[in-house]
Formats: sequence, C-alpha cells, structure tokens
Amino acid sequence: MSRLVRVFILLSAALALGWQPALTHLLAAQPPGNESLAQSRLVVLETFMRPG
Amino acid sequence: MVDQLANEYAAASQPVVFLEQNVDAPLGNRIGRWWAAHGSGSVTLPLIMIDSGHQISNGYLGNPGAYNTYKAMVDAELARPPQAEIEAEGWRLGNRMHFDVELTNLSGVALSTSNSATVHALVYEEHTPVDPNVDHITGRIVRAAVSTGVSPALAHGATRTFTLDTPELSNVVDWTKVHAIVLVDYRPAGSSGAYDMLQAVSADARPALTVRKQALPDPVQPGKPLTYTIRVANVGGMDLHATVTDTLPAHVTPPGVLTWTPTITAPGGVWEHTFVVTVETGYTGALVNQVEVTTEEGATGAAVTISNGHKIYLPVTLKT
Repeated sequence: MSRLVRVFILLSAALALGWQPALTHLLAAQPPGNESLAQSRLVVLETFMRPG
Repeated sequence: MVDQLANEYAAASQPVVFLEQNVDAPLGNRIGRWWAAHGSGSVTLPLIMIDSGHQISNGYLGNPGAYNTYKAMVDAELARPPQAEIEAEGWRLGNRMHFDVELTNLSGVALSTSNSATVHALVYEEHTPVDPNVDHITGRIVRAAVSTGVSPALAHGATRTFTLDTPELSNVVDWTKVHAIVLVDYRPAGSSGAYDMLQAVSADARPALTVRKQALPDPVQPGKPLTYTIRVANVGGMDLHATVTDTLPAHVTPPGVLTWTPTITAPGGVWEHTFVVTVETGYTGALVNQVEVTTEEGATGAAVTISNGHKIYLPVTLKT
C-alpha cells in the first residue's frame, strides 16, 4: 500500500471519528462587542433621584 | 443599599445593569417611561424603573425594605425570556459614541410607531463621587441617552439595522470607565400605557488591532539591504494609543530595539512604517524579527518575520 493511500485512510478515519479542522472553530468565534439571544435577558434597573 | 444589590448581581455574573439619572435633568426619554407606567399624581423620590417600566417603584423604602423590594423586582425580570435578538457594537469617535445595531423582532407582534417601538442606546460611567451623598445611588451615572423609533413596521421574525449617535459627551470624568447598553422597548397595549423592554445588550466600545509585518526581499543576500514594513490596523471601537516595539535580529545593521508610539484612530485607522537595515557581510543564516504592539487601551498584538528560513510544511491538527 502506498504512503499516499495510507495517509488518505488515516485522514478519513479521523474525520469519521469526529475530528474537525481548526478552521471550523475559528469561523465560529464571535466578534467582540456582540451579545446573542443565547444569553438570558439583560435586566436594566434605572433610578431617577435628586443629587445631594 | 442599591449599590450593595448591584454589586451582588455583578459578583454573581448576573445580566443586570443598574443606572442612575438626575431627576431634575433627565437625559433622553427614559423618565417618560416611568411616568407612562405610573400615570399622573404626586410621587416621592427615588423613582425606580425596571425594563422600561415593566415594573416601577417610588419613595424611600428604608433598609432592608428597598433591598428586598428591588431584588424581587429584578429576579422576576430575570425569569422572563427576551423577546428580541440584538447585536450591537459601540464605537467611541472622539467624545461621541456611535452604535451599530441589528434588531430581530421575536415579540410575536409587529414593532412600529403604532406601539411606540424604540431602539435606545444608554451610555453610562462607573463613577463614585468623592461625596457619596452627591450624584450617587448606583455608581453608574447615565451620560447620554439617545433613541430612534422603529419605522416602518418590523414584522415578527424580521431583522433590521439601526444606527445611533450621541452628542459630544462633555460630562465624562474617565473614559476608561464608560460603558453602553442598547435596548429596545415598546408599548404592549398600543399607543398608551406602560412600556416593556424586549431585550438589552452590552454595547461597549472595545479596543482591537491587527499587526502585519513584511520583510523584502526574501531571501536577502549578505551585505544587501533588507526592508521591513510594519502595519498596525485599528479594528476596534476606540482610538488606540500604541507602543510598537521591534526587536531587530542579530547580524543586521543597525542592531537593537526600535520603538514608536503612534495614535491610531477609530474606526479603521492604520499606522504603517517602513525601514531598511543591512545584512551582515558573509551572513547567510535565518533572520528572525519580532514586532510587538501594546496599547493603553489594552489591545495587544505581535508578528514575526523569518528571512532566509527553510520552508517546511507540517500538518496542523487541533485537539478540542
């Protein structure tokens, strides 16, 4: 069996077992500054008062 | 006491923001939400409002009465699901703030001027005055409140982008303690009655940068010039006060460490610098050069060039 065929079989097996290339995770990273609905409601309490 | 409650939620990483305004000089239309929920009549301070008036309170409740009352109100709101998805990013442009907002309506009804649907940005500063009795109950003072109506109507499930801009903020004491939230509210009953908040998110301006470095030519011959180009781009939401430090490789002239201190403006400012060194006569090995960038705002970056290196290709894997 040639070396190329062995590498192909090993790579196929790794993918079948759930291995994912790093790029997938890089693309999934969320940019800074954003929030998503996956989070719960952000509750806002506002007070109005007289200084002093 | 409200401070204590706010600090407890913050320590528990709960998504709760406590804000404060001067009742005699309220910003934007936020206090109108309190009156919309209460109706006319005499009241006593402080006025307390949660989620645009979904719950309100007024009057000094003492301790532990206020603590328990406000905590119960906040906990009830935390149990409610959001009814909108908001993605928001804040930009500090000089002494103004700009917001890019993407709103997806998940309320089940169309949002429009008919139900007073409005997108707000509230800019606040963590600020505790020297005299704790002045201008202080939550330690988070609103510095700007701007809004824009949802018009034309935004159907359930639909998404739209909005932009908001504050005026010049002359009242900020320390910009490093400035934060912002973006929220959307509406009147469930239509054109009258109390408002309710659909969702709110953090929209702080954040520092971010990218660093690139180029060395030409590659390979470079002994005794010949080698040109380095450093490029730092501001990809964040505020101006960057940077320190760029380049550690030159051995075997080039001049040797040593070079430093620059550029200010790179937002949005999208770029600082680029090119300089030339000469490779030592007779030297044919690799030349490794590293540039590091730090900023007063906290963003950092680095880049490395390797001239005359031997290229080998290795498989890359990642364990997750």
